[in-house]
Amino acid sequence: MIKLLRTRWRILTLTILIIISIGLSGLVWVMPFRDDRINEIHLTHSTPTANQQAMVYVPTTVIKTGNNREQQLLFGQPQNVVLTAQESLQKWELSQAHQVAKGKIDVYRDYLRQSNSLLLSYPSAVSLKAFNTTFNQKLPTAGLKSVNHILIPLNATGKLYLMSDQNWTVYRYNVKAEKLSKLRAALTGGEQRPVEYRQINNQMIITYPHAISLPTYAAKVNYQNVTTFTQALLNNSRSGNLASRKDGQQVIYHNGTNKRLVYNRANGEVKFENYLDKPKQFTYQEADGHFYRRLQRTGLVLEGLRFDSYRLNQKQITYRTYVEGFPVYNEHNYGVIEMQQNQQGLEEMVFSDASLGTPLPRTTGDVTLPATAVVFNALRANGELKDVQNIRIGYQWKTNRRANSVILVPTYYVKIGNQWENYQALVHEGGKQ
Amino acid sequence: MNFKRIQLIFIVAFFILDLLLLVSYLWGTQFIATGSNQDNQAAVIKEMHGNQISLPPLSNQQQSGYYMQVKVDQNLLTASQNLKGGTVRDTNDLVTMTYDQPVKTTGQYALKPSQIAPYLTRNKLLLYGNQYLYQPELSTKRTIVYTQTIQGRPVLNGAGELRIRLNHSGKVTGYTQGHLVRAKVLRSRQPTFSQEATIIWLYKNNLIPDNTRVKWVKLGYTRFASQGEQDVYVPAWVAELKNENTGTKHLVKVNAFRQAVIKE
Repeated sequence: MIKLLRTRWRILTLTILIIISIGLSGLVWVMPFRDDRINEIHLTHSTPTANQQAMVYVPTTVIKTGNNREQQLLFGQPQNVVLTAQESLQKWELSQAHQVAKGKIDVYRDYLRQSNSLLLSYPSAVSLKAFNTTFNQKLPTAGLKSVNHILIPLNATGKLYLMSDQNWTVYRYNVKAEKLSKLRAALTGGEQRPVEYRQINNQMIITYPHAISLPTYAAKVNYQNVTTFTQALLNNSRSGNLASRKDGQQVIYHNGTNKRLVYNRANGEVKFENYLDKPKQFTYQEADGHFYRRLQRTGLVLEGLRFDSYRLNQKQITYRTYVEGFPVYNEHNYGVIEMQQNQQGLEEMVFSDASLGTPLPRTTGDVTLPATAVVFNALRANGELKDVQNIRIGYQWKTNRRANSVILVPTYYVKIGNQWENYQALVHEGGKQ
Repeated sequence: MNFKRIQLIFIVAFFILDLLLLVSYLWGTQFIATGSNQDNQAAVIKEMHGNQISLPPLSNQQQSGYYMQVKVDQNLLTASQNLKGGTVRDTNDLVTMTYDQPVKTTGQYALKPSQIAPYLTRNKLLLYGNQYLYQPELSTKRTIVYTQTIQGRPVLNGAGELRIRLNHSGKVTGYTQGHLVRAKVLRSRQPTFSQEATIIWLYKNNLIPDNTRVKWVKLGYTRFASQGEQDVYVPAWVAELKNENTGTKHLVKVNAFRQAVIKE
């Protein structure tokens, strides 16, 4: 055997090198965003920077855990805890990844409730690469693949934890150049409400142990002209009339055979379909960057928009408008963008011409919601608790078409069958239609 | 050349090829996405210079700001009527004072422009003069402009401005004052677009014509919406553009949160 190796080592090495080169060539060949870049500057009127992805890919929920593990949800702090954490973390150096927990939900819950700490959570898992982009880090994707929570001990331990709900994995990092003073200062002011992490249907979910009173928010509503989107998405820059036809309330725009935009004048829905000749391949780590670049091309105002969820197998991503860390819901999906690229190379985007605009001074008072347990009991009575995938408090955007402003009202939203439903619709109207 | 040597050469060649491919792959996935954006921005700046557009040094640092809620001071006129030495009148929430006798600010103690408002306030010729900050870029020889500040940044519209008028001999003949009160944070601090991104956006949207000098670009606050007596202020990049052919100047205001021109 050894003799064989000795005589044939050249052939063996050469074979291995050739196989590696074929593999790498393949990777480079299918590497995404090759032809994506060149036109960007002419097609969109926004200025793409890495910074801007960092505005959309940020944690939305802030929980502070005290010395006795009691937890408070923080929101509306003038300094903005998440933004301050982002500014601080961008200057920290994380090193020496060390997996400290895996596979045990109880251990994971203990980390979520680590005393004297700050927990920043994304609405759902983001890739480690997206975390790196937002927080200016260079963590290798070989270890931890995705991040749900960032755990920052507030007693200057020189440690930071990244937590992934995927198999309840926790990684610990050493922090160099850690400075907590600004972050600690940012926790003051604003609002806080008691919360508890509880395990529901094998998920860790934030619950409210008591009835909770929350502010309403007022804002203007912006409507973008559909030509903004046809110009941005159908490459119909400047001149040239786009082929279009009307079908009831729908206007259908074409560009050649592979691009189509359908605008529903009744509810403002915009649906864009793009049959790609050569669908871009992207890995899980690349998906966030890929979809973000597509998002930039829509011509939509991205202010207030956050990454909300990604479904890996469907390659389907949802961006949603958030207000002070809470998701906003509307029956016509105002302020929501869904994108998908399917196996056949069909790229689809669904969004709306309406978006949440400038905040207005409050004219209405607080709203009181029941404790989460009350909602669970009602769902249990309906026989729907077992199907619950998640529950969260969001703000309902309920306006007539073409309203100038909106008052956002808080309520519980329940995720069942991958859809978010207002809990009142589930409970009072006898469940899903 | 024997067969072994050929094999060796091939091994070395493929090893180098693998290294190159690896570098190209890593480069592609890791760096191009951000690197190309910076290149793009640099390319646009270069293109602008090619079109005879001259720019001040621009920062690409992300800044931050707030949605603020403020009120126009409804008592300013009444309070100003108690000042001596002149007559006041009200023009659209602004108070205009005309002194009976022009006020001397030169001579024995020559005052710098930044000292005039505090001086007038000390001598009970102006209200709240210490709340305003001198703005050299907005001032001219005959008009000295001060602004109130919100969260440490200047209010860049009339409602928060103090414009002091001088006559040809440098004496103060009067002023026009807007006064904002009760500033409140309406939403948490948010990141803004950078100075450079804003100028590039203006250029790409054909809002900076050729042969223009961009004299300065400042981040301040400006009115964006109103509800009853409450006004909503947003951070805005304000740039002064000078047409190099005609010499005319004008200001452009861009919402720093969402890249849109704010018209007044």
